[in-house]
Amino acid sequence: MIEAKNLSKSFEDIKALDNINASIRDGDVFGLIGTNGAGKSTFLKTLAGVLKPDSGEILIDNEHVFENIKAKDKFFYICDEQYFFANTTAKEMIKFYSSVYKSFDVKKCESLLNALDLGLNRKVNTFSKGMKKQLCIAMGVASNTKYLLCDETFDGLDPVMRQAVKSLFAKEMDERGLTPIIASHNLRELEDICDHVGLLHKGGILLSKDVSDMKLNIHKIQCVFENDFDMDRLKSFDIMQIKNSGRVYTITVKGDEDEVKAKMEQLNPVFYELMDLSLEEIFISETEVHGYDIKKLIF
Amino acid sequence: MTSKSLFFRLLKEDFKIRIWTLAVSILTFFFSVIVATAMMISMHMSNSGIYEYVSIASDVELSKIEFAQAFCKYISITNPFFSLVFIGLAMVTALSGFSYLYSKKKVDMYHSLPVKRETLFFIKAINGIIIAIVPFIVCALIACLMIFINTAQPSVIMATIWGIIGWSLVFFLNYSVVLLAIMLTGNMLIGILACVFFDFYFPSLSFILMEYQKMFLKTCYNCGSFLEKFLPNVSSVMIAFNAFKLSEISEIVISLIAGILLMFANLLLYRKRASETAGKSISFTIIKVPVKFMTVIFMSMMMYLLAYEIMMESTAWGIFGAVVSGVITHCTMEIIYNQDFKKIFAKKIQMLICIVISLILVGIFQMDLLGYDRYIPKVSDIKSVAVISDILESNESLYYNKIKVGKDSFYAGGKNVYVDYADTDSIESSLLSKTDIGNKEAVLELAKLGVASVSDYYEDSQRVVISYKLKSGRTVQRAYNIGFQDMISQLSKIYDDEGYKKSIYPILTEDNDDIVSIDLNGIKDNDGHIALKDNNLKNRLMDAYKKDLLGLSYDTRMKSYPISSIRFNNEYMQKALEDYIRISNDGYDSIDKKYPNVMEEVGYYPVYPEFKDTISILNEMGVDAAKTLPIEDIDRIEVSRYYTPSRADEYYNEDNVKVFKDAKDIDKILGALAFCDSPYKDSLNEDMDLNVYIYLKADKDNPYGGSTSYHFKKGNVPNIAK
Repeated sequence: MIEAKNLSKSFEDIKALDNINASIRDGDVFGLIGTNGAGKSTFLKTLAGVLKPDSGEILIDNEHVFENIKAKDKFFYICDEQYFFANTTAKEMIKFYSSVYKSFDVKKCESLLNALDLGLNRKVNTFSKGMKKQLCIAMGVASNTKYLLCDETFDGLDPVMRQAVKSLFAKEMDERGLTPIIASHNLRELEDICDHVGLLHKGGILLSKDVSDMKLNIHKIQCVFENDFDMDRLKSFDIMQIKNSGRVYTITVKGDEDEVKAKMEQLNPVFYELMDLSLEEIFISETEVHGYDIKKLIF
Repeated sequence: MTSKSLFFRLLKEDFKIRIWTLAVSILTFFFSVIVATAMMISMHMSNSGIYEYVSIASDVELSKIEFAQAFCKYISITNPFFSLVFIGLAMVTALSGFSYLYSKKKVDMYHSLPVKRETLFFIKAINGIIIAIVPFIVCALIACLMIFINTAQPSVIMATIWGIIGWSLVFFLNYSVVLLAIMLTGNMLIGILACVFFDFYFPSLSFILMEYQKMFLKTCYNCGSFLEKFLPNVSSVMIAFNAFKLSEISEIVISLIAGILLMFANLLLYRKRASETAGKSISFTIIKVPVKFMTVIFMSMMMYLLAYEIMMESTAWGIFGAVVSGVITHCTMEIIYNQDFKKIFAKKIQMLICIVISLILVGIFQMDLLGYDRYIPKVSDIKSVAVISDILESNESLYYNKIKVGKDSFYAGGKNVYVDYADTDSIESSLLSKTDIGNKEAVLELAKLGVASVSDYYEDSQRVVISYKLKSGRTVQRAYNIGFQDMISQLSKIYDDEGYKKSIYPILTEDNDDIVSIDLNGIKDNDGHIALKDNNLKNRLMDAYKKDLLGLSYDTRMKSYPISSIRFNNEYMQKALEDYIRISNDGYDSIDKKYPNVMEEVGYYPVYPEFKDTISILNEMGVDAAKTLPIEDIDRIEVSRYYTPSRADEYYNEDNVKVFKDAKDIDKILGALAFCDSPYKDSLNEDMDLNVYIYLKADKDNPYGGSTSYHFKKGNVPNIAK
């Protein structure tokens, strides 16, 4: 389990992380979302032991990370722009990482690269941005560490490759309990992979929730009422958002699905149906509750 | 904990990444050591072929020795070429290993690895050393083998080993300094500038401080305190170019310790260095202000001095130089620190403070605000005091030049006897250190005259150096130019002081028993070498001479003139003289083999006519120390007036030559002449306006004593010569 307790980090007069408290459960896919400059990379770098926190602590399985080999041996960090040695080949990079990570599986890495159609002996500097990301993911997965820290790793991957990587993560999670921590500025990238999402804004965590919890408790109702319908009757709902186009209303409400359905039946609408909410919509709703305009935060 | 195998695995992986630096290192040493040695061998073989052709076996052997010596010199730490090579390699290897600290991407990668930072540091640092030193060792050993095969001189092996040790140390020091520069900076260009700062700041600061003292402190002697003399040693580049000083084991150990301490400091800095400083100018904010102040103040002071000197000692131009350079340097530093040109005038108050401090420091020197030139200690604060001046005694070199017997000559059974000339600075330094004048009041009176004459110029001014050893442990030294006539009284008191005499004339403290012979160097061939076998006579002579010399007053020296010189030889000196004469006999028969005339630059003391007891005992020993030049031997005497040119386009001239052939005239002139054909010269009482040349009947074309002209005693010029 990864825990951040009152974590703060500043760069001169810029507060990159401001008293962050978060916990990442083992076996979950943790999505860290936020705008550019929100503090995602700083959080991951602090988690990776690259940066030393100014105050607070970050623990991996109850061990401090900074300058702690035991803790650092438990993750592989893929940064936004991974560094590869000059004129090196994929094979040489694999050799380097295999000399650093005790559990690194060279064969697994090579087979992954073969599957991804990345030449082992090809120089990395001839790889495209996406290919470099794939190489990093392959090495990260093959390092067999408990945690995989991915900073904007899906940025640059084509949709097919994104799905392939998601499948790979799912397989690793299933087989050996890998916990990927994925930072991204793009909510849609994390839509169908994350179990838990944390929203970072201006160095602080705005919210951190299980996606399933959020989906269970927030519902979007599309409905049509009679002309003489008294809107005050909707007060029985915990309404987060309400929009209408003519007589068609789209209402986002909080609450148990059955209760919501029962209440709707009582209102006797001309038509109604419960629709799935996208992560984006859930976030919009949640953050608006906190007084933020999510469109300004993310898009 | 990092296992040993991980360390070596990473060492190997890092080595692969830096393979290009290894290639640079191998190529550098291949050409500069192996190819250079092969070229030397080739040239040597073509030279020795000439000797073999004419069958001169000794010359062939000599050429081999000389060749081996040439190689020893080439590989030794006296070769500035290798200083450059190792300074360059230190820069390349350090940057190739640690430049990742300048890149955020690289730092993220390295510092996220499950490897301790100190392990990473040692991997990078050790590889850098291996990359530079191992190729050098291999190439040096190959070159040594090549030379050994060709010369069979074992000395090349030791020279190679010392060369390897010395150059490795030079590299290690420079490497540590470059690492320090890297640790303190976050950008390669700034890192290189930091190297320049570390390598040249302190020597330059020392130079500037000494120049200020020379320029503005008129009584400054041996300018520069311990600090100014120590500062150049803070630079590893200076050490690299003065590596020949690393001849003592203690110096090697000190340099090694300095390098290790620097490396340890680098490790601490590396651990403290925040990863996020990659790409910034300075990685430790705390050093920004001190470094800026040091640089701006230095540049301001330097430009003040430069403008002041160029513009004919104009203070206004000096201030202009200081202010302008202060502003420019401060602006440049701010641009560098902030990596933003728009920050050119950031921190204006700090800029102002820097300039004001510079001008205050300039003022301290220029206006002598600390009273440096006026300083005279209280007599109660003085532990000992020393005075040196040519006007007191100008023959010190006779007592400090030494005869040395070396073993590096190919001739005369490997012996080589030569005069080891002492330089003026070491003589002065030694005298100032050991002299203890009892009459401190006389010295302080002299110092007061010196202070009074700081701003005046006297035509007959003479340089006088005073050194005070204070009870506080401090040593204070001042040099004055004082009018001769003004200070005669004080000089007399100082010269007559036993403490002064005993330090300036080492014979006064020499044990009689150590003396085995004397050489007397008199007029013409009135020379003699006497072995002192009779102890009684020896003691009488020694005691008499010591008494006469100790009793010699300054007043006497002002009126009289030495008639001959005497040298007291101890056993070492006697043997050295014998060796010298024997060696000279072997090869050069024309050299005068008489003891008194060899190595005249060493050990001769004056014999004044007033040394009655000494002259009397010498007479007993069969030597006439008072013998004068026989008039009947003289053909003529020429007296000419020395004309000093008053304009730059005039040449010096000797005109109005008067020739004297009459015996009476010659007698009169000889009697008035400060005349002595001995190594000890004393010009205290000479009238320098007239030159006197003596021509003997034996050689009417050339004056006696070669081109030496003699002078009349002051106020003693005979009317016939005027």
